[in-house]
Amino acid sequence: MIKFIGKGKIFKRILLLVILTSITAGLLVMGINLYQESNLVRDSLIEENKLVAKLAARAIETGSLTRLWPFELLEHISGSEDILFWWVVESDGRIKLADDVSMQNKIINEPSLSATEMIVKDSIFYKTGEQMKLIIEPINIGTFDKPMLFYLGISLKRLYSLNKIVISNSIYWSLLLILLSILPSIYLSKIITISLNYLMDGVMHISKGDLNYQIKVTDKDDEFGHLAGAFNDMTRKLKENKERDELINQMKSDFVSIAAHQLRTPLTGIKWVMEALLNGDAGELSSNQKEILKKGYESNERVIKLSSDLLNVARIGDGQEGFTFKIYNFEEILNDVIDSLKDLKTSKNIVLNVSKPDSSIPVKIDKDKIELALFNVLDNALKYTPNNGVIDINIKQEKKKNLKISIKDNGIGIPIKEQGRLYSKFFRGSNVVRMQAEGTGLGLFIVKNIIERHKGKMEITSKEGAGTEVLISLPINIMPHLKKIINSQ
Amino acid sequence: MVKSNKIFTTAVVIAVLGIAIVWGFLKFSSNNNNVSVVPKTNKENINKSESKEVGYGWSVKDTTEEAADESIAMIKKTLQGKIPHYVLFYYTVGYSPNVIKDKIKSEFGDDTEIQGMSSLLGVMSKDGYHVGKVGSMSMLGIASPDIKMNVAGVDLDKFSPREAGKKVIMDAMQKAGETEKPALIYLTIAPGKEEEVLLGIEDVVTDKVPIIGGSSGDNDLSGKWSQVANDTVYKNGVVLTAIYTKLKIGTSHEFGYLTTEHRGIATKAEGRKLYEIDNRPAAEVYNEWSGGAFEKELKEGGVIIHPATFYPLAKVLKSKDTQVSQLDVFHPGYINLPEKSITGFANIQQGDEIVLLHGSWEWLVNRAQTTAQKAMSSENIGKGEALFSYYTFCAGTLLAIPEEERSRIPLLLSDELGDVPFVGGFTLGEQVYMPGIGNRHANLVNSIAVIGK
Repeated sequence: MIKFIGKGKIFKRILLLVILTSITAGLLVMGINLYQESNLVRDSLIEENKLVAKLAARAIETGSLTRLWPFELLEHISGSEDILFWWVVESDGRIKLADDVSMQNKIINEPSLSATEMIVKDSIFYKTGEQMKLIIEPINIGTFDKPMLFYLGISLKRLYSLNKIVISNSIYWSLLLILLSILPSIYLSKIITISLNYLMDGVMHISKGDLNYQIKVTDKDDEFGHLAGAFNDMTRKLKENKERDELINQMKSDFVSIAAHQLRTPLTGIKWVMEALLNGDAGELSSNQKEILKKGYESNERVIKLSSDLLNVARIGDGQEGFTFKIYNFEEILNDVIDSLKDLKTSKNIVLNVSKPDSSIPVKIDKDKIELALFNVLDNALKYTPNNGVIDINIKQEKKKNLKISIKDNGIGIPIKEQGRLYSKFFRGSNVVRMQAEGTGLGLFIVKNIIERHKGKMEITSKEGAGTEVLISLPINIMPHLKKIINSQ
Repeated sequence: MVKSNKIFTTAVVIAVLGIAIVWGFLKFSSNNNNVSVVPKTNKENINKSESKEVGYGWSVKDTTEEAADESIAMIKKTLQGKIPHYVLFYYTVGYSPNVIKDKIKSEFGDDTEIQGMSSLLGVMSKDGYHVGKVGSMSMLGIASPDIKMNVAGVDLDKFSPREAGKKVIMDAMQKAGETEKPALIYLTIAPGKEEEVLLGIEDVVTDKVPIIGGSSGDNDLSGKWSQVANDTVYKNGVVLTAIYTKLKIGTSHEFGYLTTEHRGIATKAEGRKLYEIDNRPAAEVYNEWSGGAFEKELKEGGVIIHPATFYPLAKVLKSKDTQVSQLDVFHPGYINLPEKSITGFANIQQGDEIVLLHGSWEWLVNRAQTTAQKAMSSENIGKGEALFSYYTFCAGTLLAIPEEERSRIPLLLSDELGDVPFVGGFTLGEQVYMPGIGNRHANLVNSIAVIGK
C-alpha cells in the first residue's frame, strides 16, 4: 500500500478531491445546520421569553390593583439562566423596580420608553457588554400611575452554547466523513492506477522491444479489461510483423551474401586474366587494345568492390561477423589508412591536416574492422571534396576514457532533408548522384555498425556546399599498467 | 505535485474566507442598540430630597467609632450647622451602643435627646437596607422647631412592667415640661413584658394616644439586645420618646396576611402560652389548620418560628366603639411536649377568638408600601410632604423573605414616601395602635409613623 501510495499523481488527485469534497460538504452542512439550529433556538428563546415578559407585565398590572408587586414571580424570572435582568421602568426612564436593587431609581436613556406595543430588539447588556435580546412590554397600570414598561434582557449564551455544540458535532461528522471516504477513494484510485500501471508496464516493455509482454487482465468486462485486451492484440500483431520482417530481412541478407560470395570468385578470376593481359603475359597489346582492356578492368574492380561491400554488410550488419579485440596503436592504423588512399589524395591535390596527441594512443579494437571504418569515412571525404580542398583529421583523448576522432572536409556536404537516411543501406545524397561520383551507398551503414560494435558513437554534421564532419568516439578501454607497457614499446 | 498543492491551498483559502464571512455576518448582523444607564448623582439626591431640618445617616463600617462618625457626618452635612434636638438610632449587636451615644453627645451636646434600639441583622434608611460584616447603623437627627421630642428610659429589672410603663411616660412628659398627652409615643422595649408596659403607659395617657414601636432585637434571640435613652444603655429596659407637635402624624401597621376560614377559641391559655384550642391540644389543631406543616414538631417538639411565619395565628379584637374587628397577630414560636402547647411572642388569653392567617414573603415585602400609603392617606400627607418617618419591621418576617429580596423593603417604602428621610429597624415584637381598641403588642407586623410638614 505504501509503495502504491507513494507513486502516481492520479491517486493523490483522487484522494485530494475526496478530502476537499468532504471538507466542503462538512462546512456546508455545518453552516446550514448552524443557521437552522441557531434560528430555531433564537426564535424559541425569544418566544418563550416574550411569554415571560407578558406574564410579568400582566401580573404587575393585576397586582397594581392591590398595590402588590409580584415579587415571587419576578424572583423566578430572575432565577432563569436565560434572563440577564428585568426592570420596571417609568416613562421618564426611571427604574422603579429591578432584579438588582442597586439599579432602582437610576435613569436610563433608551429610545423605546414610549413603546405601546411589545418590542423585541438586539442590544448590549450594560454589565458585561455581551450581546442580548431585549424584550420591552408595556404595563397598563392605570391613570393614577405613570405608564410603565417591563424590560427583560435575554442572554444569548444558550444560543452560543448550541452553536458550539453544532460546530463541534459538524467537525466531528466531517472528520468521520473524511475518514470514511478515504478508504473508498483509496480503493477507487487503486483500481484505476493498478490498471494504468499494467498498461504503462506494457508500453515500457514494448518500447524496449519486448513484444512477448502481455498485460494481465483482471476483469475482462470493464473498460480497463477491454483496453488491456486491445493492447495485447496489438502486441501480438507487432510481434508477428516483426518476426515476418526479420525473416524477410534474413532471406534478403542471405541472398545478398550468397550472391556476392558466388560472384566474387569469377570476378576475381576475370581480374587476374585482365591483369595478365595488361601485363603482356599473353603477348604485347596495342595501345588501343590496352585502353579497352583497362576500361574492362576498372569495371570489374567496381563490381568486385560492390560484392565486397555487400558481403561486409551481410556479415557485419547482421552481426554474423565476429570481432576480435586487441590493443593497437591507433595512430599507426590511421597512417595505414591514409597511406592506402594517397593516390586519390594526390590526384585531387587535397590537403590533409592531421592533429593528434603527442603520445601514442593504445586502444582495444578489431584492427581490420576499424581500418575498414576509417577507410570508408576518409574515402568519402576525399571523393566528395573538390580538387584543392582540405580535410582536417583531429584525434584527441577525452577524459582518459574515450578517443575522439574528427574527420572534417570542405566538400559538397549532404542535403539537410536527406540527413535522416545517412545510415540507411544504399543511401547516396542527391548531390552526389548528380556528381556521378562512384560509390555503393553502403559505406556509412558499415561504419556505424563497426563503431557500435566497439561500443562507440558516431555523429555526422553536414551542410550542403560547406562540408561534412564525421565524429567518432571510441572507448579506450585500457588498464593503466598495460598502457604504460604499450607506451614503453 | 505543484498543481495539487495549488488546488489544496486554494481550497483552504476559500474555506477560511467562507468561515470568516459567516462569522462576520453573525457578529455584525445585529443592531447595536445599547441601553445606557445614567444614574442620579449623590449630590442630586442630597440637594433634592433632604430637608435641612431633618438629617439621616447610616454606616456599615467595621468599628463602632467609624460607623458612628460616618452616620453623624451625614446628618451634619444635611443639617448644615443646625444641631438636632433629637437623635434616634438603630444598630445591630456588633456595635457598642455606649460608644454610639457618647459620640452623639460629643458631637451634638448634652441637650440632644437620644433614643436607640438594637435591631436584628441589619437596619434601614432612606438609602436602603444596610448589613455590614461587623455591624450596621442608621441614624435620624431632628432639628425642626415644629416638633418637641423627649426621651426617657426605665430599667425593667427595677420595676414591674406596668410600673415601668407609668414611670417612663411620666419622666418623658416631665422632661418635655408638658402635662398634656403627647401626640405620639415612640417606644423601644426589651422583649417579654410589652403588654404590661403598654398598660402602664395607657394608665397615664389613656388608650387614645398612639404608641408605635418595637421590641429590640439581636441576631440569635440570645438576649444581646439593648435600648438607649440619652446617657443610659439598658439590657432590659423600656425607652420612649414623647412627641409633641401640631404637625400631622399618620400611623399605620399591617400584618400582610390573608385570613383563612380556620377559627377557634383559646380554651386554655396563660401569658404567652396557648394550651388548647376548642378544648384540644393547641399544636394539634394548629397543625391541622395549616395542612400538616408541623407534623415533625408535633411528634418531636421544638422551634417552629420560621414556618410559623407563613401560618401565624391572630387574636380577634373587637373594637369598643365600633363593631369592626381587628387582628392582633400571635406568632407561634415553639411546640411544647407532651402537652402539645404553643409558645408565642405575644400574650394570649383564655377565651380569645383565634384565627389562622396565611401569607407569602411577597406580601410581607409589599406591605412596606401599603402600610406607608395608609399612614400617609390617614392624615392626607402627600408624597414627599412628610418631615420624617419611623419604621419598624418584624424580624421574624424579615427572615422569611429571601435574602436577595430584603433590600426591596426600604426601597418600596422610600418610593411611597417620596424624598423623605426615615430610619428603621427589625424588631422582635411590635407595638401598634388600633383605633377603638387601643395600643397592642403584636407580632409579625410592620408599622410606620409619618410626620407631616
